[in-house]
Amino acid sequence: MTVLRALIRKDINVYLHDRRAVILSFALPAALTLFFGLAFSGSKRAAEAPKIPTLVVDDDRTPGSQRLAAALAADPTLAAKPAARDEARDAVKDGRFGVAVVIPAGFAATTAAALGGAAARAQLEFIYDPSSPFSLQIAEGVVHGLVVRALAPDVSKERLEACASLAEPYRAERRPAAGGETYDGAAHAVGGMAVQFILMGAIENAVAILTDRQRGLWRRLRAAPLSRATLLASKIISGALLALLVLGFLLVFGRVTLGVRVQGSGLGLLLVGVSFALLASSVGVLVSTLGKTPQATRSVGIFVVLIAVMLGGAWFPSFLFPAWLQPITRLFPSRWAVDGFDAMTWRGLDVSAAIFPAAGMLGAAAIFAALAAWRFKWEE
Amino acid sequence: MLEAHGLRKRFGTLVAVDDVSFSAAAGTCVGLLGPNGAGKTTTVSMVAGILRPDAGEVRIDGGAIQGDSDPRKRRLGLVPQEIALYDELTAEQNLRFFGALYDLAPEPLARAVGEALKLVGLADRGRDRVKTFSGGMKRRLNLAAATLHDPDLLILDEPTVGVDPQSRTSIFDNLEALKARGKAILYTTHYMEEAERLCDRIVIMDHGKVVANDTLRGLSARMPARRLLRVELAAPGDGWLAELGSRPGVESASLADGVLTVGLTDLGLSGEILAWLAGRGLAIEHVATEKADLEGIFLALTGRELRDT
Repeated sequence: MTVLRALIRKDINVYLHDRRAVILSFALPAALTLFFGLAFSGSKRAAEAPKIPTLVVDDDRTPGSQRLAAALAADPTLAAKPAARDEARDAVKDGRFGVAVVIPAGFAATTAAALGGAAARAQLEFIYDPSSPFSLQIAEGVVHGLVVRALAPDVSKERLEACASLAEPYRAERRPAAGGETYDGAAHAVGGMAVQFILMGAIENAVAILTDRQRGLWRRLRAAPLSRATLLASKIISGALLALLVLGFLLVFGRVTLGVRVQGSGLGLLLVGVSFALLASSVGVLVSTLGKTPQATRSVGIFVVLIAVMLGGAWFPSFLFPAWLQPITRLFPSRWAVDGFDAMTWRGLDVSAAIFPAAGMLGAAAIFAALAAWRFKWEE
Repeated sequence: MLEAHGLRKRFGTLVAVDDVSFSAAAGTCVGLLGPNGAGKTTTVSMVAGILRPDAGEVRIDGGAIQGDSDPRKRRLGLVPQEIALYDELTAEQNLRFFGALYDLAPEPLARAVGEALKLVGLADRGRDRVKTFSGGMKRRLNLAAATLHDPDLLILDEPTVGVDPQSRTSIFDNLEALKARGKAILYTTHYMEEAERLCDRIVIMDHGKVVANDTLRGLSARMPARRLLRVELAAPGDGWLAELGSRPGVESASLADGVLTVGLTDLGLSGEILAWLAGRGLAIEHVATEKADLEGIFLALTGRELRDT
């Protein structure tokens, strides 16, 4: 019994002194549980139910259309704001808004006439984000209910009662903001997995740097006429090239197995890919300067990568996140990368849509590289 | 070729190297000898430009190394204590990489790789991955990697640790060949027989300081005793060592782990010493005599066995 007790006590002691094991067993599952719990506990957080980010373009500018716009702004299901047509299209195109409702000129008069029995129908335009089809459906439902109420003052009470059964006093035209007609989960998966595994590769790069140092390889490098700047640059560039290799492989694999196509700009995709590869590589070098041992660095690095890819929307499209989480995820460079890949693949956007995420990632890469250079301990 | 003057390095409160000076001329081998922790690796790290000394300087042909990418580093080749090779790569790929660090053009590099592999007897294993090599083969390749750019000074930090006798002999042959080609060699070891075989001059270090710097012949000549009597005692007790040391013909006397080592001017005095010990009631278990060697020199200089840590 004493031996058994001693063995058990020893096992527990050894386990508790192994920081990596403790992190993997407790901290990581706790963090993941917290993330999923907070992100997908909508049923218990009714007060914070997400509103559909909506833009209302009033090209009619009549009392009827203004009442409709005001009713949309006041609706608790939507977070509606007024906007000009071009501004609305761009905002939906880059995913900041799920849908834009365009009230064309003459809409109120034509629709009021339709309610009065006329045959003509005005056309109400819905510009929507293909990644967020449910936003379109909800917005359509809300608009349908509000049109009659908003235009009621322009129609006699008798006609209103008579046309109660009139299903559609206007025609709805649904128009995707850009590119593909619908969200392409396969294309998103290619981008998401590229982000995840390139970041994982960056952590492995960090581990390799620390292992080289541990194995004495750096003594040989230090003895050569080699500056720290050259060494750091070589690590960042080699890491970035490997990252691009992974990205290229996944794009080809996605094309062959899932039919994923680059519907947007090829140049934009290259820009996003190179920026993200440099970002990931800089992260890897920075992690190597912070880590003490390869083992500890790997476990902490994987933890950080999992959080970054989840919040970046690499696993699930970010539109599934609750409203309170959305602004937080936009702070993560992994989100910029996922959004950039989405924009260039299934969203089918042009190169201009790649500039913002690429600039953000290059800026972050520069900051991480500078931090790595500052922290880098070249001497033994 | 190499001059080290007043090198000093401190790590926190520990002074690892304190006022160490020595030099090495072309075509000679200088041995840095001392137990683990004596400061040998710190010293070679400063010589190789890996560590910046807190004080003192290293000069290569009169010029000090300035900065990480100083071209003077091309004149040095370091064989680190660790097997600093990429296991995943072949022997040739490793050598090509380390040669490229010295800006060798493709053709001279290919020639240097072939010559280096030939030098260490691995010409037929160049395309094999290093992870398939034995420990001795890795050690030889470790040496080859430092010779690619034809350095004038080769710095070897305990290059034979864990090596089988055959590979050790091979490494010695390689080093003697390099020395014959005019290379200066700085060789750290705690193996006496290596220093005795290879080195023209020996710098003995202990606790970060140089305790002797001379040729082997010079060190032997400086020894207070050239003849040693070793006596294994059953129960040495204490209070008699100083008296023994003051006896006529006794030049040194030390006791470690029950073994009494007595330096004598003449081994003919051995019987007299043994009788004196027996007269003190000390039980003698084993007796041996030997000529002074480097081990004895180290013991005499530091009062410690060389393999003490």
